[in-house]
Amino acid sequence: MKRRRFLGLAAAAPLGFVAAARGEAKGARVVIVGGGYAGATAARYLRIADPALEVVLIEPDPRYATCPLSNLVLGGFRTLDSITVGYEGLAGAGVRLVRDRAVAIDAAARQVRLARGDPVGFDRAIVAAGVDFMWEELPALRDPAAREAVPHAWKAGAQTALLRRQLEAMPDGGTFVISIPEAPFRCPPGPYERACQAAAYFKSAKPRARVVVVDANEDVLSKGALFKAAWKELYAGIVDYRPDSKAIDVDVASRTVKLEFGDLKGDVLNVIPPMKAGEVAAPFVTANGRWCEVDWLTYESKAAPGVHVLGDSLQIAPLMPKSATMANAQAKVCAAAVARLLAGRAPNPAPVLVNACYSWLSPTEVAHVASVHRYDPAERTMKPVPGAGGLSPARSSAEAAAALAWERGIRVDTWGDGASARGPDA
Amino acid sequence: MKARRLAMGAVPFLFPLAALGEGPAEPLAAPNLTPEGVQALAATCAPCHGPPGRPTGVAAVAPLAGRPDVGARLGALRSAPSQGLMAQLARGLKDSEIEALGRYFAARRPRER
Repeated sequence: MKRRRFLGLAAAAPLGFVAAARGEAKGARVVIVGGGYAGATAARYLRIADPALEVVLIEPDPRYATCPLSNLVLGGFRTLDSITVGYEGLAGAGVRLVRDRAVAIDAAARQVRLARGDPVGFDRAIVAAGVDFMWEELPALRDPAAREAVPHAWKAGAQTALLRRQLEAMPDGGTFVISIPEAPFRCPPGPYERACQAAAYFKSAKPRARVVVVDANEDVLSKGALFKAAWKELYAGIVDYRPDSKAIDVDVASRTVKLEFGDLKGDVLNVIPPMKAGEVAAPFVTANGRWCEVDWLTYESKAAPGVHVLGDSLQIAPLMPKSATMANAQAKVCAAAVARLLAGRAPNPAPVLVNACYSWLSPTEVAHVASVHRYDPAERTMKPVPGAGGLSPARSSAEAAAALAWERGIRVDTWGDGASARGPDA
Repeated sequence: MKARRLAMGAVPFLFPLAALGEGPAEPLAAPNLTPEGVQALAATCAPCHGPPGRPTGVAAVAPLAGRPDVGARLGALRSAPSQGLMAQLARGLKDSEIEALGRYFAARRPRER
């Protein structure tokens, strides 16, 4: 308890403390930008790999609402509190928390510049900046006020609560429009799960309401047969799925999604914008002006030595989803590699990544997609292992139990002990 | 029924560990068989099973530390005609890695962190 409190104080100390401590510290300093699944896992596993390392996590928000399970919040089946974690567990693991926003990562000067505090120097930096939205693709939504009227809810938290309130206020007989951007984006099955959860809510609370899904892609991107079976068997007459329907703008006043071909009016609009690497990762973007390429053995940026990039900001390897489990898995490989590099050792030449992703097709039934990825030294990329991985044959309540185990397991694996203290079901 | 399939404890003990053939040379697996490598492989289990010493509280996804049969069950799952998630993932592991994981988890104390 005493140790906790001491570290908690250290974590809350002004940045000068961190900067001053640097010269005295025996280990090198690794600065991590972003406290989501990738960044938090990297922080915790760096401390495990080498307790002498000074690990600094820069994150502006005091708590993190997980995108996983956030569609159940939209449906009214979970509370936002129950999917919100704090950073106490990381402080307890000896990670120094700096509550500030990283505005720039200067790879040449080896320092991270902050919105409020002094710059933080690093021996290596890990950038886990998540995604940013390409508002230029939806001109009306460049206005932040418009995003209050038409939420994306693709970063969980206030936007999730906002969209939930809009769904609650929507009249029975109303239309909820979900617009899906072209792949790739964070959480490929997420929009289809969202349609299921909204439909489950309508089925009991507003039986005449509908969910219209307009998808820029030609078909459901993930777990297609499973989602379509749920729409047919559980939500017939509620979910209306329309592929090849790309949103190009929104008319906020008339609640209209402007599609390439025709317009679609709704009562509540959820327009999920196209995505790119998080803003602070922009200098490390090397693919299509959107994503960051890395060395898959170390996650070191192809654009900047000493800077590593993780998670949803990455230009993916073949069949690698932008999922929470994948971000957590990448972070462990990166943390081990960074610890070894700082000790003058070579990274593991044969890393393995495991992905497991559960989707909630109803409030009680779940299906999974899973894969195992190994490094291919000839092509220098991660490749899925043929014959491994796959999908659930059908949705089931048994897999809902497994999905809850995943929720709890990955939460503690990522944010450490004490990270799950908020919700009644946490 | 599905829960039973997901639970490692429900998979019958089909054959002893020694029966797992090493197969052809596995140059790529070797780095994953060092103590550091096995620890990294074991860390891939943590998102669902919980990190060491932190059970998820969900019976179907049991903690692994201290179990003597993880290797045998992974081996059995890999060849079982199952579409369960764990069987699908086991098929991505090599024999030598499954054996090493089995030894690793068997040697851990359940509450060890």
